[in-house]
Amino acid sequence: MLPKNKKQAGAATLGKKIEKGHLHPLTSIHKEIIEIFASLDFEIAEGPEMETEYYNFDALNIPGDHPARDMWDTFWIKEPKNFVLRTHTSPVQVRYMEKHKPPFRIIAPGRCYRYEATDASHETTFNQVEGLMIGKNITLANLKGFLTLFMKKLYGEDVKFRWQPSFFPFVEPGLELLMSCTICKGKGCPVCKETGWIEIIPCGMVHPQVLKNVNLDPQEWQGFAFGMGLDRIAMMKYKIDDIRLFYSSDLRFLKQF
Amino acid sequence: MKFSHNWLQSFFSEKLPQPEKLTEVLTLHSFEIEDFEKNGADYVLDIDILPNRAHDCFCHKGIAREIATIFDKKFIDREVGLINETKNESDLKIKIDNSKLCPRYMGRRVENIIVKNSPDWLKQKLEVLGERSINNVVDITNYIMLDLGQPMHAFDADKVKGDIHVRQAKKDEKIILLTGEEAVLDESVLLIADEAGPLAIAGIKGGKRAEVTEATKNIILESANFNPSMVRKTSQKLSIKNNSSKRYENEISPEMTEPAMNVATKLILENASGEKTKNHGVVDIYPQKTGSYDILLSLIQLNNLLGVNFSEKEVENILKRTGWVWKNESGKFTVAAPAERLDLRIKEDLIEEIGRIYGYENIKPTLPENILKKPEINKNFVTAKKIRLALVNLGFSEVYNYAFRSKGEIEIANPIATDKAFLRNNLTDGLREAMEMNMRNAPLLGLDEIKIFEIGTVFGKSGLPTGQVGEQINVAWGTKNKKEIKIEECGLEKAAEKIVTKESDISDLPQTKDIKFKPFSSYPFILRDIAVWTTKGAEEKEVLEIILKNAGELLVHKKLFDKFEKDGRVSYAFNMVFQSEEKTLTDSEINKIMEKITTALNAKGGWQVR
Repeated sequence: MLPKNKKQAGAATLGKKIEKGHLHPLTSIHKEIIEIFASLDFEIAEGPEMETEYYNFDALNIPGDHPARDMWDTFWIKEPKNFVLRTHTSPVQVRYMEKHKPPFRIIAPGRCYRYEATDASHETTFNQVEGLMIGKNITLANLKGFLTLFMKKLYGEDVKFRWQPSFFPFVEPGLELLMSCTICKGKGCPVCKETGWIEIIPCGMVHPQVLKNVNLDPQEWQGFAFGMGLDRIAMMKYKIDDIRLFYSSDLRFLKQF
Repeated sequence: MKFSHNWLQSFFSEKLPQPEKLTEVLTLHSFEIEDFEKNGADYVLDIDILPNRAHDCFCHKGIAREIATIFDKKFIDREVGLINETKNESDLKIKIDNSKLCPRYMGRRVENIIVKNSPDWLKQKLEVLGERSINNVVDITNYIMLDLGQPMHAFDADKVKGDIHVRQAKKDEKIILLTGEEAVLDESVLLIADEAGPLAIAGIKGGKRAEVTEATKNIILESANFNPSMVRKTSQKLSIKNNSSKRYENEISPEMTEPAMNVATKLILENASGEKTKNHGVVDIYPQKTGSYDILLSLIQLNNLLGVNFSEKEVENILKRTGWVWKNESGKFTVAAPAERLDLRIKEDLIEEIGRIYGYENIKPTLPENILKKPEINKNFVTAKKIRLALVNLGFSEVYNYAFRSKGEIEIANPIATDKAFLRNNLTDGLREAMEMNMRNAPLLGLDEIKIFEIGTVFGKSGLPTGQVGEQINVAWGTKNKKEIKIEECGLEKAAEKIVTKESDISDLPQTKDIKFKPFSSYPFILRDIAVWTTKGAEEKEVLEIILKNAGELLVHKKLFDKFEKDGRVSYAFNMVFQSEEKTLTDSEINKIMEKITTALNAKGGWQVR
């Protein structure tokens, strides 16, 4: 068997013990996040990276030729034409709601893609974790409750963050959770666009139109949704100043984790 | 979008908060103020308007209204009533072919005006925001847009031949734009035209033919409403994005044309009139007046969605700050959405308004009661976790490679680069490249072989019915050393069978909690070896100590690669890797260091560098 052979081969080299490899930092963050939400009884859900236009946009209340679509610069598949590389993990919400009856709480990790020029804080490839909770009386205060708990578990009790109004067509009200930039300690740097704050969790209450699109009655059901970019969360946690390092496959970077 | 602090101040008699305070409070309740900058006696604020508020906040009035609500200040609406007409009748005739594309068109002829430089106050207002002053008439139309959000246009009336006709362009019809460029049009483009042809591209750009110049005597003022998706498509097709197209494509209420026309007329009469100036009556083509929207919201619904416990009084106090028309019948609120607030349609929209005015930071976080249903286990997730654990324990490091490749089965319509036009149909190719790249750094990493793996999605269509595409999660792992490269790749389940053993489950994944990343040097490294004869009994660490003491900080890695005894002496041989954080090292710099180390080693009694 491969494992044993490997072990012996490793052990023979200068009498050294086999050294463990390194997990990718995004995997470590991903694992930590999943464990936090799993301890809160969130179920893990999945969806495809190659999505239909319907799941990526229309079902999420983002109509065609609407300026809101500009918020998601999209890679389109040549053939068949109505496919895209998902621009967020939000389509998993729709797919899950179509097949399950509430109440439920899910978390959906996965790779996403955006058509944009890359620099220290922008990548064509990034990883998100989507969260969704639907019930009879799930409130915005609950959204704040879960995410506050999450932030403290991930970054420690004295983490500094705040809530701002925001807009995403699939939530109403829409919010953004920002945390004080750890790279510059809130002083301003290229990663936080010199603001001292970094947007890390867009969130809000699921838009009634999205519930209708999956045949749930908005009079009966309500809940919250959030999405977080793992890359930014990892950058904040490990003080990584260039998002492109995650996809560099460079062991000079990876061996540090 | 840029806003002038002084301009915003003109909507208030009370003094506005300073930019610092505005930034702090508006960011938490309305929009993010990205930046502000002093400009003379004014401040220019750069405000990131949320897309759903582009209808009403792409102008100073909208932002001022917002400030009035959030800071609970009295807002002065500078709206001008109907303008007295010096000539009641108008001989201006306007025809609209399709009112879906142009829901409203107001035109007004003004005679015998004087086109000249703008007065200083107007020039200054535009220049603070980086807009170029052209002449009084053009500047007034721009001023209205920045003040009220309604784009306007002025035509030289003497160059307009016959009636105004709002119609779709014909295939290959051409127009010379104000910039002097020629645009070739088709049926998807909406035109303002006359008997002689196109005068302007609706909502986007005026034409050269009826441009207002210093020689202009008579003008036609346009204040119109155009279909947002039509403007958006045309703007994309012609690659013309400007102040006007940006506002129209985000949709403006047709109700906005009237106040804009009134203020524009007033300003023309004040700033461009002569003795014989006459303003004609307005011609207003508005076949289908937009309806008004009443939103119903009960106190219970509001409290249930936000998770708060507002009283009727508290909600009333918030609504009073908005300037809206509303009423409360024992906890049942009715709010009339103001015409410009196209974003206010359903009760959730109203809940958002009340929530953010109140302040999201003031809503107390709570957790719901636990649900009894236990979550289902996700099999792929568990399997992938086991594989990762096993591979890391075997010394493999995890990489994330891009899914974009130069070859594959599925092509991307808009690739980011020509060599990234396909989605990967295997992980092996990417893994191999990553191995080769890392092998070049092997001495720096202190590795004899590169062992890496990836768990990722691959995409394909072979084996699927025509027109279908598919994806699956694969695992690839491999080893590369100087002699050979070995890579295996298969699906999750298969990989688990091959890799996961009972033993691989004993230890958990490495802890990464307190790790802080240290940037690594991007300059090339230099390799040197050194071998030294030592007296019997000398230990490796004695040799190392001398090397480290003399090598300095440029030595980033060292490794013992050989040790043997002969004739009562012991030979130690080390690999050394030198690298700078700041520059490319030269041989002569390293030679000097090597000499220093050699001298130090030789100085030890009975030692000799070989």
